Amino acid sequence: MPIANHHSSVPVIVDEDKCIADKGCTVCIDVCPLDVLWINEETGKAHMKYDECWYCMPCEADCPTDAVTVNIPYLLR
Amino acid sequence: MKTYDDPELQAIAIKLTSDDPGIRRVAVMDLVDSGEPEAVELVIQALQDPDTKVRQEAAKVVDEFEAEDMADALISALNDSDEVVRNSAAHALADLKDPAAAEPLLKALESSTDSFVVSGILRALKPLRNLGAQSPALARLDDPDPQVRREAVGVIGWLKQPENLPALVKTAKNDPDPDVRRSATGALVYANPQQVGQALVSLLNDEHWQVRCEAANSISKLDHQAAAPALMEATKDDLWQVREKAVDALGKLGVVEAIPVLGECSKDTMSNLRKAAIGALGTIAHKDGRPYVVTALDDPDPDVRKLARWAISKLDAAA
Repeated sequence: MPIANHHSSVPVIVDEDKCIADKGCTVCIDVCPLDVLWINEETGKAHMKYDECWYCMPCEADCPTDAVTVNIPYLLR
Repeated sequence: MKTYDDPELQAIAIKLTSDDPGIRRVAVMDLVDSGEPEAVELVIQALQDPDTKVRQEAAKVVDEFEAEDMADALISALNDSDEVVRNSAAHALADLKDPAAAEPLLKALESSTDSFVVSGILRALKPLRNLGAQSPALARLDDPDPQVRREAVGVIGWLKQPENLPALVKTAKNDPDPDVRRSATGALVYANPQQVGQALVSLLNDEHWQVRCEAANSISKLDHQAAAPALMEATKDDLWQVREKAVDALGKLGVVEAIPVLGECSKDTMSNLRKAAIGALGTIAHKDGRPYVVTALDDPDPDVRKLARWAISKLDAAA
């Protein structure tokens, strides 16, 4: 059976065009209770570094530019 | 540039001078966390930023600071080209309740066409109780937007001018929006019962239950005794919420003739209504009500039992 080593998608998607983490914003990173959001060194934008999410939503709600989308799995909705 | 002793605030001040509006915006976001009183100066500065997004961000944080310190900046922000900024400024000014703000608010009202902003300004004007707001508010009673009409009703209600009563009665009776009718019904309480009593009685039959509730409330606040028969009728309303308010009102008015209908309500299936009925019987404290109160001492709802004991003590005291 093939083993999937890489996730093709993570639940928290950050729209890099909207994200202003490169300007110094760290709202989503600060509110995440699991500390799974980090700044991508290359782009300066926020991204989901660890795929572990409680779907608690403050990152999406508090993002000043509406750049964050949390995709809640169908069975949790 | 001014320098600040607090290193964090100093860092924010430097960021606010950046050429990049994005960096300035994030700096404004950081201002909220600064406990320094001098941070207000930077908020004022940000409210005048050339970039809309920065001004919007500043507008969002204004309510975290003392509005008094930035009254002038807020008043000029009422004329901002951006709606979000204008609205936040109106909100913050409303918190300020400074009579001096009335003049600029009225001026801003004249030049505003956006419903959202107009209602924001009206909301800010309401607690100031400035007579200058009367005619613009009366004119807005016919605004197409229900939100604006509701705020206009609020302004007029707070002004408490007898000459506005006919307009308020008309709105309470005829406005197509139930929420506006409800506000207008609630606003009528500054009148003489003779002036609005009839209107309030007819509002007990409004098609919307919240208007009916509000009408019962207003009748009780005005102590409009002549409405007793209509209130007794309202204790048979389809909705218990209306019945409850009618029962409350009958208690406050002290209508002894209502004791049989109140007794009927004290047997209702809805415990909130039973509670209100026992409360009313206790307030009236007439011996005819005692049998119902005694029965309620064994009510399945502990709140009703508690109130029944209180009502018994009132009845004993009156006897």
